Amino acid sequence: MVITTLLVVVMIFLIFRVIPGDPALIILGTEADEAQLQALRSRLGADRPLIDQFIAWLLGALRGDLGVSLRFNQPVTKMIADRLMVSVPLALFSVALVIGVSIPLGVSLALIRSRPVELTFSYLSQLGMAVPSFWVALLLMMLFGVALRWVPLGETVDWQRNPAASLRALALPAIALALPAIAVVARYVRGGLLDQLGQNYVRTALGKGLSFPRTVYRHALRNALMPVTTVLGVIFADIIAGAVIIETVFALPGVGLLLVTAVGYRDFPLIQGLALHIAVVVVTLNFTVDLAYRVIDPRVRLDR
Amino acid sequence: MEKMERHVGKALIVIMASAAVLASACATPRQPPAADSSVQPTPQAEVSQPTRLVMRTMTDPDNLDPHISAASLTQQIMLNVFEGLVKPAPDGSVVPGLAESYAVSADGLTYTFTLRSGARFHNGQPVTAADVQYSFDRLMGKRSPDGKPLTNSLADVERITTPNDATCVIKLKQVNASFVSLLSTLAILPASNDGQHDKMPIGTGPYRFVSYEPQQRIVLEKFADYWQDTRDMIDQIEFRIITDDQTALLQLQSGAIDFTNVSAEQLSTLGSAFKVVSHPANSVFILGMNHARPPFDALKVRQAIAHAVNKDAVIQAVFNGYAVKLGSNMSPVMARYYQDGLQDIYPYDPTRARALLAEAGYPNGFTTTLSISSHADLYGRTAQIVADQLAQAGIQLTIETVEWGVWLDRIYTNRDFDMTLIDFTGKIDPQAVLDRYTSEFRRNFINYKNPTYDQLIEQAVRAIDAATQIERYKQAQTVLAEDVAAVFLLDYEFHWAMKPQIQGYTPYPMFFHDLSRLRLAP
Repeated sequence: MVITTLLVVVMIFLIFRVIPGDPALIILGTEADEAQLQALRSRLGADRPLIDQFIAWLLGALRGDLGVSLRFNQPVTKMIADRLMVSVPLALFSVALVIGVSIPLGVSLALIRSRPVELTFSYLSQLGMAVPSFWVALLLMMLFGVALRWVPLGETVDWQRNPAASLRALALPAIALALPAIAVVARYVRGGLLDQLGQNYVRTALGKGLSFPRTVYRHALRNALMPVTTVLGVIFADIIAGAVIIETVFALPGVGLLLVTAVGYRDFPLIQGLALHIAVVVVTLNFTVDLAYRVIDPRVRLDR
Repeated sequence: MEKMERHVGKALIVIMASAAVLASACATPRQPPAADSSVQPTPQAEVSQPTRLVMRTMTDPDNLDPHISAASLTQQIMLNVFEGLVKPAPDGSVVPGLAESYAVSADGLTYTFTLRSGARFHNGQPVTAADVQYSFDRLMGKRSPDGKPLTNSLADVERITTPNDATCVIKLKQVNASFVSLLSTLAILPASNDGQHDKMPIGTGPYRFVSYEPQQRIVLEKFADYWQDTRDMIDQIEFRIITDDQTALLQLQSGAIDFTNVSAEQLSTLGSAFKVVSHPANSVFILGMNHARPPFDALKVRQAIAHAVNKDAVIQAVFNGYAVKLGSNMSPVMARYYQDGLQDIYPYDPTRARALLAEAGYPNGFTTTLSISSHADLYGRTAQIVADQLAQAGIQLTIETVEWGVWLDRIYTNRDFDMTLIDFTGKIDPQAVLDRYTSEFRRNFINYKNPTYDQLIEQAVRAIDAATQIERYKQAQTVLAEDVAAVFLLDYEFHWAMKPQIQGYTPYPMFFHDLSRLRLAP
């Protein structure tokens, strides 16, 4: 885990060495004169060689100090902590939607077995996977934000004041983020379950008098969820990546929006700090998925 | 390695802890309480509800310290917080600001400013000559550890003295016709706030800075002790930072914000529910050619390109007609300095373009690359049309799209390109507009070099009488146009969409939302 994370940080540094861009010039723009640029460069410390900046950053990071953002002139740790207040609930909300919708949906589709329903689902899920999420996001805003006015747009999340309103403010982005994932996962659930239902042990279970729902939920579904868990691990990472686009479209001040900006401004300390956090989260998620296998797999789990 | 592990553990704890405190805590700073009694609302305001407006801005401020900041979009907001000795006026001239009046010596070298009595900083302190001295010293680098100036604007200043508390005398090394105009964006800051200008800026303008949250908002509040009457001004104005144009439009339509810029395209979908104020941006949108690279070093080739580009078609296709055709590097908005009649010295004529190319030794045309930035829509859309038009004259363009940071580095700084598209934003000072084509200008990235032009600009800026100055600037524009220094395409319009209750939005020929003129109808 530690090695993976370290590799990510080193790779970002290497990528940074090859992409052109002067943070001071990007921050001040085409209107800046030379004196203004020089003054800002020396303030930022961005006039030092990148390898020096990297070593300084790494030494700082080892002491738990991620440095100060070039673009925003604020401590990176504090900025990321603030952004996690938006991004973590958003990710959890979407993951909850993905699991809460796609598993029942996949199961029902596997059990219904009607041709028209199958076709409709197949069509919709293709659409769900193909349609870009930023476009879905714009459509959702138009429908629920402008036409129906159910959800306020541009609301920021302040959990202390009004948790319900905060949750509502995150609803559209979470849906936009979850939709493609739902399409994928529901397919896996349906396919996996159909597979399992054709297996001999299901026939045996039914034959020995076990009820159909009990057979499905206790035996077939559990086995069907094994591959789904693997997919979910990938989907979680997708959601973190997708948040970059969704947060930009919804103007949500989360980690994703910060990352886009940090890259655009060549904000080296901020990018490194964000990369470190995201790498840790993704690595942790993969580890959690590994653990989840043990929970789901009856061969590992102790029977009650 | 062990240390690293501990650190990763720490990062994990941060993530988990932040997930855990979600329900209970939010570190978003609330507005700090007013620093002192001087910024309390006036009695009238206490009786009625405070008025409030939410306006969109496209990006974060580059820096809150006005002496560091250079971005137009920051100026657009912060010019309400800070003032110079003079202030910009809607017609592009300057009017008295923190100086009530000023006098210029006959040789044009000594400026004597009389400071306004009763002007105060947002912290309640009166504006003194010492603060003026401090601000200029700081800009000129006398307070930096390395002694380097914070701007090139004051390079012509020899010294600044303050003989008494109400007078400031600035002595120049040489005549500079733009000097007063430059002062309009050089903020006077309180010496007592030294070291805090980029965190909690204090100015003298009609609005005081309240808070800034990165990628979210900047909040300003009316400064009741301003030296002009503030009673009818809007009490609080929040600038919401929204990068995406489509999102901003949807937020306007949903009522989340009250004011945003809209594109010419969006204008047609806006409907009648909103008021729109349109005005020319005073921008100069050019098709740039690298004069240091063949074939663009040949005048005939540049003339051919100028004849091949149909500016009217670009205006129709990209801006729905909301733009004015240019002939040189100045918009007609700069009426006093603008040289008319240059728009059509190389009219659209593909046949003539082919003939000129043949004369220049390219009977079959040539192939080149048009490098554009991806950060705004207009470059890509214009590039496609221009590529089509040039193809008709036999010039094949390969469009290369690069990210903005790359554009600034590779094209704007290292001048590694064939052709590009870029728009220069409005300035009220003709020197700032035209200087970028002088041979020695640091970011003369198209490598245009013409001694005649350099001379005209030098004469203009050193002229004591206004008539000579104006004449030289006009001649300089003609030189740029005839030389085809670039293909000067157009000046587009800004469209500000706002809810109908907003009154008094006043366009300036520069980036400036003059909040002091805004009113909210009941």
